[in-house]
Amino acid sequence: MSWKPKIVAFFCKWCAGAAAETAGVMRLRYDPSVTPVIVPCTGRVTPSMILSAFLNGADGVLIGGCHTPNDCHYVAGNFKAFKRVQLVKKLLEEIGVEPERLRLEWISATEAPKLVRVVNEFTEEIRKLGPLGGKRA
Amino acid sequence: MLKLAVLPGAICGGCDVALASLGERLADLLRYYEIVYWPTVVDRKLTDFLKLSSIDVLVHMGGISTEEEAKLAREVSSRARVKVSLGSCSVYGGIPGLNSLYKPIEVYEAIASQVDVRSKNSDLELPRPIEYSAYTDIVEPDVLAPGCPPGSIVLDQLFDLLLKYAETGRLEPRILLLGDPESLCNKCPRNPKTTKITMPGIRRIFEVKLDDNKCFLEQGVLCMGPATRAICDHSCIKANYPCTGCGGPIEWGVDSGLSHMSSVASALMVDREKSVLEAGLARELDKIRDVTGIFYRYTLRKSLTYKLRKLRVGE
Amino acid sequence: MSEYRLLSTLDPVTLVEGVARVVIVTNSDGSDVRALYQIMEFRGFEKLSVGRHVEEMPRIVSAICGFCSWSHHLVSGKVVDAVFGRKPPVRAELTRRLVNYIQILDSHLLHFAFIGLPDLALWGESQRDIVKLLPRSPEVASTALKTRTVLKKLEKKLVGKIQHGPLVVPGGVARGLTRDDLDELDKALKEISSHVDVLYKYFDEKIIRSGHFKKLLESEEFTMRALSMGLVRNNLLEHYDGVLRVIDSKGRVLHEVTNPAQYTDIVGEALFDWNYSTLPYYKPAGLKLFSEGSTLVVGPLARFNVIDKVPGERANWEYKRLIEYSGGKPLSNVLLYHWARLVEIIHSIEALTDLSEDSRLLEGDTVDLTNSPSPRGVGVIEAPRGILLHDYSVKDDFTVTRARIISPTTFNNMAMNTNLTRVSGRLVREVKSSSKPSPETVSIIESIIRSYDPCNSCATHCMRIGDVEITTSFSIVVVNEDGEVLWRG
Repeated sequence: MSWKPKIVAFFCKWCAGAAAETAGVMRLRYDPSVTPVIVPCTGRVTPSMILSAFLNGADGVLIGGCHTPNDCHYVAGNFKAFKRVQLVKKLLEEIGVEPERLRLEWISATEAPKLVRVVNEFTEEIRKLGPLGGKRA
Repeated sequence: MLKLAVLPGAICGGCDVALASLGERLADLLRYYEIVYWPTVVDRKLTDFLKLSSIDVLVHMGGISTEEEAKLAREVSSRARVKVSLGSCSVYGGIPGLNSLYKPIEVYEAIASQVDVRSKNSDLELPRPIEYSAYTDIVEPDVLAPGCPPGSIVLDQLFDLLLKYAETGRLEPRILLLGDPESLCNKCPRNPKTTKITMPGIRRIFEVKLDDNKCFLEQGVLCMGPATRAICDHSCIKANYPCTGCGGPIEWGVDSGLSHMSSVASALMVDREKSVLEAGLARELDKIRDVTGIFYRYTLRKSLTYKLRKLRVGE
Repeated sequence: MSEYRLLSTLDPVTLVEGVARVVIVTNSDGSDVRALYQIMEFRGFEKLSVGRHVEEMPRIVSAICGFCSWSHHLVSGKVVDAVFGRKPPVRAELTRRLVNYIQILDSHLLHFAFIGLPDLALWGESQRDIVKLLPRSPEVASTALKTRTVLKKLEKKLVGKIQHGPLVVPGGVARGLTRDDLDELDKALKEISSHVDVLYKYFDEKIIRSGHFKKLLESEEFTMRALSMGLVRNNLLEHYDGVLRVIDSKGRVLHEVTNPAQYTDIVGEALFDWNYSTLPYYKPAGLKLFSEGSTLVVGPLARFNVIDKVPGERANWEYKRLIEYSGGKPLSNVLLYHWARLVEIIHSIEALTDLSEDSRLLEGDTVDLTNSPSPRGVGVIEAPRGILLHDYSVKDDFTVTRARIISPTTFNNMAMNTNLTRVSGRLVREVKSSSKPSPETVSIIESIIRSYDPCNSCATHCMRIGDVEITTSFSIVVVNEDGEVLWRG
């Protein structure tokens, strides 16, 4: 099996990003197919960033942000991310791309084990879905 | 006299009418230009037109749906000094671009499945349609004049440009994308400038009586104004109907569908997020049953979404 | 069967809307000649409609045609009303009727000025367009152009955009008209009326009263005795909503349909693999290509054939004059189309004048918001070129699952092929004796096509045949009455 999934993960620096650091410190292993991109807030992640990730080789996009309703450092960036992801998932479905390839999770800075679980679960799911591109089988 | 040609691809005729309706302005232009080809208006045969080795201005209208349209558009464009892409089909693919998610045979089947197919012969000898594209996918024009059909701002700019070109031989100011470089929302007569726009929820047009004063987004009705280039005098909005985005993105190269999805996400129930929570937001967003048709009605062919679809199906 | 060969193509037929051509094929001795009117592109609205919010359809399908965008918009609105089970309030219905009349006026004036008038006034010349007519009859040509300016200004004022604009919403209209709008309408009508009088006078003197026109009307080459289909209301001319009536070439009523969804009883549609276009035909007769008994004709002449009277005094007088001049109903000479359009122009002005004084346009609700949904809606309207039919199915969430659109040009496809086939024999004889057709014959073919006023943009939402390059990768077919391929090459 030569194909390995590529996953881009947008992590908010205040929560999921910090949890990823903690996971490192705690020597928790997670799947190396994930490339984390640290963003100031999930509210910064635009639909066009998500699509660009897919177009540039990602088979899955994971977004990790602060818990709702009250954890966002910028009041409601996480809600904004939720709404965008909902719309993009619908769009993906309409064009024949599994919406499961895009996942949003709330992961606080203290939830390193959750981060690891989510990353591994998601990687497994993408592995099952196979490559995004029609010819890269 | 300069030579002006109007070449249609896959058209509806709306751009023809928009140009022909300019009456006096068109007459001004005809003081400098001879129309060497314009099949809807002037009785000149294509074969005669193709004998000309060069033309000054080519206005291309419509999308490209067959090999022959592509060939003709390329051929004529190569002889033109100035190439104008007129109308959203030519610039962005337009409404027929919604079919660019499908193969031509699937489009054909949508008809064939509904009528009495009398003979089935797999050996089709008819020429096959090619995958639909915009004119800008096959030729690099000098001027882009979007709109469905192009709005008053765009047509005024285009005529000024062509008059100046006739007088000076130079294309100045050299504007690639006509229209004003701002969103339609910016100068909207309804724009609540003092406050941030809040959408109370999602309301489809059959659910409400449209208020003829209030910002459509604030009525919960999807209006493409925030992500659409200012190419018209708010004609639809003044007729009490939300903008459907025919002017395309604010800047050339931007994916207006995705930017508008972003704005809707920003505006939806911002005042109540913490009480309705994810479930409440999802319920409202789920009322949008056609993201493609709402956000990409005219620009799907030029979008990242189109590219992703192609990647997905391995083309 | 290789004795069949491609004889001639007129490529493309200029001055029809959209790109088209005629292909004429014959066998070696010229005893079997067929003409096919071909439209050469494809935009696929049936497919792109699927998945759309149904209430958005009126704004989407209007892009089928930039010449009659309001017709598509309005009929789509009727389908959407049917899907939601709504009945537009009087104010909304009258507003829609008003816009429909403006559409007819607009399209007919455009056709009359740019196509019909030059075609008849410059008969026998090689270039018959407004550019050539302008120096010849400056006052007429410029009057024709002026009507455009007035109408476009009016459309802009009433509905925001001159085409693909917004008017209908499910169960009504987006905006009710105001006193100011009606004043503008009144002013515009007065101006257009005076322009139309100039055009009419010219047409009357130069065309109707010319012996040449009378002679052309007697020509079998322009005659088409098919079935006529059109809307009627109390036996009167009707363009927005009425009973769908079919009569035969003797004037006998064959069908009257009140529920448009029953159109499938009358209309069959066939698709052959030698042709991307569907061919609608009169279902009870079965499909017989190139046969008048199987051919349904729509448009101004068909409308005049199915009714008894035109509402409005002057228009009715003109209607009677036309019928008398041409020897009675049913009208069958396609060159009468131009005159019929002129009569409908006069009728539209009269109808609009009545509406401009109708206070119901200014009062009451603009939309009915009740719901009594149905999974399918069918709507019929008289577009300028004839019966236009939209038929959609929807899911519970009011998204479209299926769409069928039959435009007047598609309806008239059979008629044009039948009509052109008749003239083609003459063309073939000329080619055989002098290797190319005479300009007059070419003119006749072009005139037949222009008479029907085919709107290829409308038809091409569903069709595509042929190439632009006529000499290379080109497919020619010869078919018999049953649509069987006799020869292809």
